[in-house]
Amino acid sequence: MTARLIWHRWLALALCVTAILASACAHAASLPLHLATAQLRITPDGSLESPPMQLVMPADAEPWRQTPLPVVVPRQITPDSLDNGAVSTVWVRVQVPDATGTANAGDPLYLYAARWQTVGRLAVYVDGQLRWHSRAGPVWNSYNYPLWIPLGPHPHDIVVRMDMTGQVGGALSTMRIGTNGQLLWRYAVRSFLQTQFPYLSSGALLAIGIFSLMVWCRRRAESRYLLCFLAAGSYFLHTLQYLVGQDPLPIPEAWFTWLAFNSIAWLILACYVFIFRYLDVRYRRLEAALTCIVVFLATSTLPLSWFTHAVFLFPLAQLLLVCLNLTASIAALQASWRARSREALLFSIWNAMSTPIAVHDVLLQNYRISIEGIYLLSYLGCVQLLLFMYLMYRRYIGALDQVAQVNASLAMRLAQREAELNESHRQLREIERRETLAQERQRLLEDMHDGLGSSLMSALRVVEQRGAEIDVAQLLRECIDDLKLTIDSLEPDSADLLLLLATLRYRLGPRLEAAGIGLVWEVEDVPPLQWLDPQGALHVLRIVQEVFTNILKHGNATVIRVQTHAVDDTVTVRIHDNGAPFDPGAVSPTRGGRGLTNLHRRAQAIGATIGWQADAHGTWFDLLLAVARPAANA
Amino acid sequence: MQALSSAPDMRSAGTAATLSAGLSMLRDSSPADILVIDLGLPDGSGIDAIHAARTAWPRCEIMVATVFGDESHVMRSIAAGATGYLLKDSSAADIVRELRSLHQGGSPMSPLIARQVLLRMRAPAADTPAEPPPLTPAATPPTTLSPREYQVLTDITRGFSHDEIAQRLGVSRHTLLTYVRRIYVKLDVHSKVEAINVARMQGLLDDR
Repeated sequence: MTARLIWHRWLALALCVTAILASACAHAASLPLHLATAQLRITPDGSLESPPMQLVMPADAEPWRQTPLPVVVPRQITPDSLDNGAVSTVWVRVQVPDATGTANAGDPLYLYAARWQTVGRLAVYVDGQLRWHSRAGPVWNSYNYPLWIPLGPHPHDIVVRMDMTGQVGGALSTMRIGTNGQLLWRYAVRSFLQTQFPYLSSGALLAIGIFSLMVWCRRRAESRYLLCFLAAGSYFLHTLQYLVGQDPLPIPEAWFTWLAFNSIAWLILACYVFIFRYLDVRYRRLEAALTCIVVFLATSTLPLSWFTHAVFLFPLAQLLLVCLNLTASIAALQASWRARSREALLFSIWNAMSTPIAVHDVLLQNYRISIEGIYLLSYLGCVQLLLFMYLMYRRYIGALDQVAQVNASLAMRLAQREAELNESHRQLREIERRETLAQERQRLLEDMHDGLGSSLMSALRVVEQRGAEIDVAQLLRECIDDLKLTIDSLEPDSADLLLLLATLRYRLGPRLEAAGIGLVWEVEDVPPLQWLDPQGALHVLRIVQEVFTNILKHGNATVIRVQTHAVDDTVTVRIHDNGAPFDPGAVSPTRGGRGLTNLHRRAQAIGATIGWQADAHGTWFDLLLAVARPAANA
Repeated sequence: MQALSSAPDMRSAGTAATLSAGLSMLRDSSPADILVIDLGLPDGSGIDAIHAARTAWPRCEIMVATVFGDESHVMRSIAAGATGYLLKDSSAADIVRELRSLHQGGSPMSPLIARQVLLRMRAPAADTPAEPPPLTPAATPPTTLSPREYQVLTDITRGFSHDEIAQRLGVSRHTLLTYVRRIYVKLDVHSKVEAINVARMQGLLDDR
C-alpha cells in the first residue's frame, strides 16, 4: 500500500518535471540555437602567434563551403616530411539570425561548444572583433575544456579560427548559442564530467596513495602499499593532462607530454604488479617484459626533438601500450581466477576494461569517433580508487579480525592458565591445611600424652596405691589446670612472654597460695619473641609449670620469686625458691626423672637453655630464650 | 548452691535450667542483685540470656559461668553486658569471694582478657602520641581508656595480681576493683559503638 503510494508520488513528480522541461523547450525553441552546419574554408600559412584583434582573412582564400558540424580535419598517421612545420588555418563561420532575439531581447548571448581539439591555437571573432583565444599551447591548449564565450546581446557573424600544425588534424564540435539561463547547465555538466570530476577523483586517490606510502615507510616488507602509492601518483600525473591548458605550463610542453604519456604506462605497470602481489603470484617474464616496455617507452619518447615525438611516435606508442595492457590484464584475470579471489578478479576485470576505454580514448584523440565524447580514461581511476579502497578495507578488516582472534585465544589461554594456577594454589592450600592439621594433631597428641594424660595416669596410680588417703579433688584440679594451660596456649596472641607467665600465674596462683607459697612477681618488660607459636608457647608454659610442680612437690619452699630479664638477644626467666637445694644430677630416673627428661626435651624443641643454680637461700632456675628464631626449632 | 549455703549474707533468689525458663524468670520475678548465667544452656545460647537480663533487670550484676574462662567466650559475654565471670571449677570459698567482690564493685580479670581489652579499645591519648587523633570527640570518650585503666590492664597482662597492682598504683584494692568494673562497662559500651560504626560503614544506618 505504502509502496504504491510512493510510486504514485514519484510518477506525479516525474510528470511535472517533464511538463516543465517541455514547456521550457517550447518557449525557447527559437533561441538556443543548435548549430549543426557551418561555413568552412582552410588556408595555408597560418601562425601560432597571438591572433590579431581584428578578423583578417587571407585575400587569396578559397571560397566558403558548407560543412556539417562537428567538423574534422583528419590526422595523417604517416609522416609527410615536406609538410613538416607548416601551419594551416581552419576557418569556421556561422551566421546568427536576427529573429532569435525576439523572446529574450537584450539578454547577452553565449556560445557553447562541447569540444575543440587540435595541436595549435583557437580564436573566436564576433562581428570581426576578437572575443576569445586560447592562451596556452600549442599542444596543451585547454582542448578538454568546453568553450563558453560571451557574445553580447546581438551577435551576427561568428568566425572561429583554428590554427593547426601540419598533419595532426583538428576538430570542432557542434555549437550552441543561447542565454546564460538556457546554456549554463550544459556547460556546467560538461565541465564537471570532463575536468572537475577527474580532478577530484585523482586527488582523492593521491591522498590514499600518500597514506599507503606512510604505511609502507613503516612496513617495508609489504610492497603492495608502495605499489598503491605509485599507481595513485601515476594516475594523478596522468589526469593532469585533462586539467591543464587554460594557462601556459610552468614546464616545457614537451616534457609535460612525455609525463602525460608515460604516466599511463606506469599506472598500468603498478596496477598489474599490485594485483600479482596481492594474489602472491609472480610472472617473472611477464613482469620483466612489462618493465622493459615501460622503460623503453620512457626513454624513446624523451623530448629530444619534441615535434617528431608528439606528432608521429605517440600514436604508435599508444598502440604498443594498448597491446601491453591487454596482455597484462589477461594474465591478471587468469591469476585472479586461479586464486579464486573475488576482489582481485573484480580489480582485474576493471583493469581489463581499461583496454577498450584506452582504445576509445585513442580513437577520440585521433578524431575517429565523434569528438563530442568524453575522455574516459580519467574515469578508470575513480573506480580503481574504490577498488583500492575496497582491497585496503578488506585487508584492514582482516587484520582486525586476526587481532580479535589472537586476543580471544590469548584470553582463553590466560583463563586456562589462571584456572591451572588456581587449581595448583588450591592443592597447595589443601596440602598446607593438611600439614597444619597434622602438626596440630601431633601437638595435641603429645600434649595429651605428656600433660593431661600423664597427670591423669599418675593420679590414677596414686589413687590405686593409696586409696582414700589422698585428696582426689586436688588431683583432678591439677588435671584441669593442665587442660587450662593447653587451652591458654591456643590463644592467638602468644608472642608475649609476660602474658604467658601471667596466664600461668592466673592458673596456678591459687594452687600455690593454697599450698602456702607466696609468689613474688618481679618481671620486667621483654621484647616479643616472634617465633613463639602456640606450640612453643605450650612448651614454655609446661617448662615453667613443671618447675613450679617440682618446687611444690620436693622443695618445701615458702616463697617463689619470678623474674624476667632481657640482655642483648636473650630473654631470661629466673625462678627462685627458698626450699631445699635442687640438684638435677641427683634425681634418680625413676622418681621424677621423667619430668626432668620432659623439661630438657621441651627446652630443646624451642631452642632454649635451662639450668639450676643453688645459692645460700635456695635454688635458681634459669630459662634462656633467644629473641630471634632459634635455628634448632625447625 | 552449695557455695551459697556457706555464706550467711547471700541467698538464692531462683534458678532456671534452660534458656526459656530463665527468660520467663526474668519476666516474672523481681530483680536479683546477681545473676549467674551458664553459657552452655541446653536450649540456646547464654548470650541471649545476658541480653534479656540487661533489659529486664538493668541494675543486676551478670556473671558468666565458664569452664575455662577462655578469651572468646568471655569477651562475647562481656560485649553482651556481663560484668564478670566465674570459673566453674573454683572452690566454694572462691565462688563466694568472687560474688561478693562483684557485688562490691569489681570482678577479676584474667591476663588474656585484659590483653583482649587492650587490643580492642583505644589507648589513652597521653600514652600514645603517635596514634592518630580520634575521629569525632563525641563518639570516642566512653570507649577510650583512662591512663589509670590502661595501666591496670597492662599490669594485669604482665601477671601482677590485683593486690600488687593496687600497691603499685598506690590505691586501695577497692578502688582498683572499681577501675576494673569501669573497664567492663566501657567494653560493653564500646562493643555497641563499634556495632553502630560497622553498621554506618555498611550503610545500614542513616547519619542523620
